[in-house]
Amino acid sequence: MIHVEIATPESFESVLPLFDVFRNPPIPPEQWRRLFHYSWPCEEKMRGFMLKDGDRVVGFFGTILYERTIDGRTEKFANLTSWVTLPEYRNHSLQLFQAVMSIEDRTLTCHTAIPAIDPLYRRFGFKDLETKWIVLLPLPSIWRPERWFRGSITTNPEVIATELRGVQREFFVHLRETDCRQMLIRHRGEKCHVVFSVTKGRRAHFSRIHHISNRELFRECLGHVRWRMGMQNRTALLAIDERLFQGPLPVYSRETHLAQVALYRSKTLRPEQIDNLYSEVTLLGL
Amino acid sequence: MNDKLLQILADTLGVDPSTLNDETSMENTAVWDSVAHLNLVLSLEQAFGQKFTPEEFMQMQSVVAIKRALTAHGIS
Repeated sequence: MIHVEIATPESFESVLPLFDVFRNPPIPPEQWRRLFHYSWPCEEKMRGFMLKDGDRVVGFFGTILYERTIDGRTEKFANLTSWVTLPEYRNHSLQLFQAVMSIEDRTLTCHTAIPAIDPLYRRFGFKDLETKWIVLLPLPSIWRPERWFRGSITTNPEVIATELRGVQREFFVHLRETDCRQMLIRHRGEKCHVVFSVTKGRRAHFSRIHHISNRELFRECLGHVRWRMGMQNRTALLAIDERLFQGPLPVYSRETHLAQVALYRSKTLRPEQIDNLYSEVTLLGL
Repeated sequence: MNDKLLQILADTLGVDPSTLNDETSMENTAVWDSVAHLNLVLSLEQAFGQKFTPEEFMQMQSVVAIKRALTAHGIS
């Protein structure tokens, strides 16, 4: 009898073999484990849904659950991840989708809806979360911003840990074990916490930003940040989701339309209020 | 409606129309996966000039259920 069951942290070992199909790039088991064993508190045990044939797991659709305080309200999220079904059971995979779509009390996000399946999500109320990246190009080699920058930029985890407070410190702690890197900008008595990852693109390594705690300060210090990121991480480009970086395009930058757009469904939130922090993007290092 | 429906289903699934009948469903048709289902519903909407709700989309998982949905939209 083929049926759908809720996946819990204890389901990890039985679901893991299904992830063998995701080999581009290969993701090690310890990263998949993060989808089931969060580094942040979560009262709910649900980690998604499993398609089962008797006792055998033949499909999975993951949900990464977390909460945030936005505009004084507690907002609940589920980032959708890793929809996979064994080939001989693909005619049952819609049951998994149906189960996920029944989640109505959370903002749903999906960063990896392939174009063929994009209309399916839109039919169930999903809209564009992100369609473009702002890509900051390398600065000319004569650019030496450190000379006149009166603030400071650090990527030292020990320093960042002592400087951050409240929710920003929680983000720092929760993501410390992932492949994400973190940066703290201090300037004019203000701080900006930045979470980013370094990714290998088709032509070059680039840094991708997932979270900016103080967008005004970040923009003000952008020249110094891109210099530091480029030098320290040996990345030629810096990519930022457009919704996290609204306003005029900085010098030496351009917009890039995404072939695979990110989607969301929410009753209360706008795209610019949603970041990528607790998502498959950061947990799986996509 | 029946012939048109079976032809659309056959084209979408890439099978011979003669292999399809009222018993055909996602449950017993291996090639009728979620992507094929999406394409099927989009083709039906285009062919019959209708727009199905998300609930109907989920219910149309067999030939009989599709006929029921089309009938509910006034197509006989």
